[in-house]
Amino acid sequence: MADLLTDQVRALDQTRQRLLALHTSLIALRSDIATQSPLPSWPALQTHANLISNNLQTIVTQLSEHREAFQSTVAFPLPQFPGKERSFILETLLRTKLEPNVEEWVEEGENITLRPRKGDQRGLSDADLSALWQWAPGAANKEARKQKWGADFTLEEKQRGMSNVITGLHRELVEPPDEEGDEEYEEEEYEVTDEDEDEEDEDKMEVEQTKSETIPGGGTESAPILRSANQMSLQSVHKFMTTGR
Amino acid sequence: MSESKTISLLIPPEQDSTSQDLQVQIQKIVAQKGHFRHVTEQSLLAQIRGKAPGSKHNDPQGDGQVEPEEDETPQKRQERLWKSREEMLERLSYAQNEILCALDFVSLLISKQSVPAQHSMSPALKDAVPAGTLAARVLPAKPLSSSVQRRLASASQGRRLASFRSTSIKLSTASSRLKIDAERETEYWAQIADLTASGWAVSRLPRDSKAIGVHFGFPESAPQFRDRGFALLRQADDGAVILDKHPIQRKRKRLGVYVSRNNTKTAFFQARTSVQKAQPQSIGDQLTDMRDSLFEEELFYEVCREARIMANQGVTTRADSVDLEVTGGCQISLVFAEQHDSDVDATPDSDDHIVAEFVAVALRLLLNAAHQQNLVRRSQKPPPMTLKSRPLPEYALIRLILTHLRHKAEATRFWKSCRDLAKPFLQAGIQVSITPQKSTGNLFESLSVDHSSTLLSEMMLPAKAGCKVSLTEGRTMQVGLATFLGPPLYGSRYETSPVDFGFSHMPILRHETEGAAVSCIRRILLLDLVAHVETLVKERNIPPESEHGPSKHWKLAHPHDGEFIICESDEAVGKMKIAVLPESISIKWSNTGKGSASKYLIWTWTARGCTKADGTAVASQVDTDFDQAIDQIMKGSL
Amino acid sequence: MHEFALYGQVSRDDHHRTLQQLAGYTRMQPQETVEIHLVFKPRTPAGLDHLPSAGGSQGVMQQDVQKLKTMLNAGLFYLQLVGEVVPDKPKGTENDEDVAMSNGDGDHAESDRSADEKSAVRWSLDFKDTPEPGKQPVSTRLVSRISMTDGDFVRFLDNFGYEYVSRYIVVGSKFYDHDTTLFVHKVLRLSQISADEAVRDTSFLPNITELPELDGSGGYTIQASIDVVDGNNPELKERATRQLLALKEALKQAVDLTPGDRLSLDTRVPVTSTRTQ
Repeated sequence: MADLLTDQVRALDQTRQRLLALHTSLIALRSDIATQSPLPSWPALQTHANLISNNLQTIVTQLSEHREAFQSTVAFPLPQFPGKERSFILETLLRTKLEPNVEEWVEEGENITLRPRKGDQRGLSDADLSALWQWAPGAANKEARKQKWGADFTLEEKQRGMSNVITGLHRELVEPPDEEGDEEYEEEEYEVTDEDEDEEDEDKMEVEQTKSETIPGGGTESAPILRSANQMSLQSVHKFMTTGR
Repeated sequence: MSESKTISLLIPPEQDSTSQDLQVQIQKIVAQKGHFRHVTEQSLLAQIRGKAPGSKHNDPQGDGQVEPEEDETPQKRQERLWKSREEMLERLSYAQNEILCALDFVSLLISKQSVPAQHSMSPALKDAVPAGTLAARVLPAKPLSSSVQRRLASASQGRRLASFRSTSIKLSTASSRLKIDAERETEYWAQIADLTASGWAVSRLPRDSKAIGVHFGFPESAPQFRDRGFALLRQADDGAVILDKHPIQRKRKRLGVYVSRNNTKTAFFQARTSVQKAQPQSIGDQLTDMRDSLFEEELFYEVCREARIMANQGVTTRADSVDLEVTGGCQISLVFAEQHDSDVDATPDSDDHIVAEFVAVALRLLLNAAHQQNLVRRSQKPPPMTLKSRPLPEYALIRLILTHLRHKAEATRFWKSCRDLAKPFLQAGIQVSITPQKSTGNLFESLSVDHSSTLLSEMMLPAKAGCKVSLTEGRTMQVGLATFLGPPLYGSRYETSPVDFGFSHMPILRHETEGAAVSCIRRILLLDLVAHVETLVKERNIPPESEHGPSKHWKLAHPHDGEFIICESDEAVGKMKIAVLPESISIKWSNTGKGSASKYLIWTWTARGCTKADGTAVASQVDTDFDQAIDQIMKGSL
Repeated sequence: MHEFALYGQVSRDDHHRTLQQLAGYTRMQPQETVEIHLVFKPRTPAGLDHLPSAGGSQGVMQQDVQKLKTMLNAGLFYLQLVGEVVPDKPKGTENDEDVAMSNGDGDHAESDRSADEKSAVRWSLDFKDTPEPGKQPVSTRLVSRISMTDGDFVRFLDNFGYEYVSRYIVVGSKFYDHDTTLFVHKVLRLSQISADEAVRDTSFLPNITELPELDGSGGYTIQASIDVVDGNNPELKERATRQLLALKEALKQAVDLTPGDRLSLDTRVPVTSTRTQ
């Protein structure tokens, strides 16, 4: 029997802070739901869910890290604790038994594992099952590494040539970087700009359209017009046009 | 890709353990719905009707399979949404409660060692319990019993299995939804591409970047029609392109053309209609249909607009028709209706049906020409902005059609009169003819109406016709006829070219009516006859004074009356008067000399022949021509 | 007449795209425009030099001298003769080289060179005031455009006390939308010749693409303008401004349209005394 060590106190304090963070994120979600009618946007909800799940994750990590210490620690009220008047509080705080619904949840999990598979003849043996458990994380990981995530094409498609992929889309698509980490993106083929101004006269402009659809709707290419640095300033042009010099 | 490499991610479903124990049931209900005080009859009823919202979270199999019902009304959706929201809040409360409990415990536990921990205790706890009243001891580590370990392991394995299963179901649901979506999109865009390929202009909407629309109208129509020439292309459940319902439901009215004479309909024409009313119409057909009916509507609108300013020209406007008075008795009705009554009393040899077709086709072409003119006008520098708004001028549609129809009627009448006029001359053997001639170049030079070089620019011009009058001695004259309903003509006008007869010179003359023009031609023909007779007389007068004592000779007395006199020693002893009447020409000879009894002789040529009236006797002299008659008169009188 | 205008710039690389956007916006094909600009400036009033210089020691006279100077210099503005080249109507007449093309005021002696390409020029006398001061959402200035059909323009201007300064040429594409004229243009330099010749000279028109550009980068200027009969009328002013600002908003992702810099659009001739001190 020993008192809490400083390290343990620190671990507990960290846990406390994580709990606090989790609580804060719950409050944030709650107030969002309360203020936005009928519900916050889907992405906003997702963000909240992510945040909460991250906080939960850190708590779980924290707990498992200090599992041995926490498991072997027992808390008890000091004599100063108004045990008689506040026994309810004490019970609530020191309760270690799981709540019935949680208990049930755990039981259910157990049952899933233990219950003999009735309708399934191909049930795996325990050894195979545990082998599968061993194998699966690595395999999944390996599978995941085969792709560069976040692009619009798969690496396979890239190898076969992206121009063969029929996307039907006329906007810039993200190309996965080469496996060597070559960051240089190739020019998109359909983005070739017409440099030859003499040909303009022949090009009939597309006029059969309502206003502004020709104006790029906030796409990347419509980012503020980059003026080539050496273009003469509007003032100089105007000055010349006014005075002829 | 061999099949062996693909593994099914679906994990065989497990049977849910459902304990019937009341205790457990109550706990479950509390877990699902929170405390009983939150449960109302209403929410339970709603749950029975809809889905049990709690179950989908507790039951891994249900997860991800809760799809919104296809035919969900907005109200139902709203209800579902509120229910989910309520449930989220309940769960949040529960979670918060648990967290706060844990927080309170940890905080109180280390409140002695850590000051910040005191602040994270809940106010209620702080009030009730002094800080630092909870302590902890660390016991020697004792491994968990194997049964507990096994229990934990199997619980976590079971949970993990369950979550894998639910994930795999979610993923496969997502993938099949993606697949369906991809198919829908492919279908939609393929159809859009088809539309584009067949020439429809498809574009996005300025305001709603997600919506796609198609332009089926005419870009140069008046704004109210131009703006309607656009329909949204929605996506049906199977991905097929469907047009927004709104514009489809309009009634298809068309403009039909009736020709009537003396209040009897004699001809009808209507632009070709797509009669097939089969329901599954392709988008392209629907668009063509909509375009056509929009065009018809615009046409009638513009016709009415123009008709209002033409009320003084025999144009009457009714609610669904415009009547044009072409000439007396002949009327054209432009009727705008869904169904046209095509029964007409067609007279076999009339060309009224051609007229009806001409009007129908020309109106449509003219509207297109007006569109083109709009584009031309729009492509020029706009005039400076003024306070007065610039209204779109009325298009020239029925004005031009009326012009041409009236011109045609006028020309036909005129031509008939001219032919009647020329017939007696033929009979009389005089070399006078009237032949139609294409547009007379030197006439109506003043009529340079400004017109842009659009299609049908010919039609925008005043209608012109002309004929050439060949007179004796090689003299010729042109007669022009121009019709224009606008300034400066406001109708039909004739113009005759100058002719010189020696004794008289006719300048360019303008005539307002057909009658005036014909009588002018008649006068010119008379002058020409006079000039002709004068030359004959001069030839016959050659043997002068020598043989007979006092010479008798003919001379021209009043050219414009066609009067010649014969003089004997400067005394008029007889006279000859030539007249050109609408359907005949005549020579009237009479002696006015003293002594002999007054005597007269009248030769008359009509289209059918020649008659000679000598005194009271009238004889038909078929073969005598004009020159012979003059000879006879002169011989008799000299 | 008043002109309300906004200005912007288009880089060479963006030029084609901008044209396409404007064509889509205005639903019309670009109207190719070529304008010859001859700049004239008023001669300094003769009396100016006789005034005592501002730096003189006349003390009390100082104010009056300043006033006189202002009076004499007031209303000294640059004027321009603008010749709009009227495009040849049929473009496909290249095979009949012999077509004699001569137009009224053209000099026949020089038309032997590329006679088939010689184009008619429609001249007008343009006056533009300096844009109104103050922070305005759009540039506003008084303008006047008088078309000049016949006569000796140079002598006419000379008699009015204007002397020829220089010439340049503006080429570009025009679009019209409601009352607005959108003109995407660039300035090309012309060799400087005497005023009389400058009025007649069109020999450079066939090979306009070879002319040197004022802006070496090949960039274009865009001007969106509305002519208004009376810019002082509040309703018209509001309408024109609103229309231009709506255009600016609609085109904001394609081109940035702003009011012009008043100083560089200043058409007043700076006060200069020929007498050097």
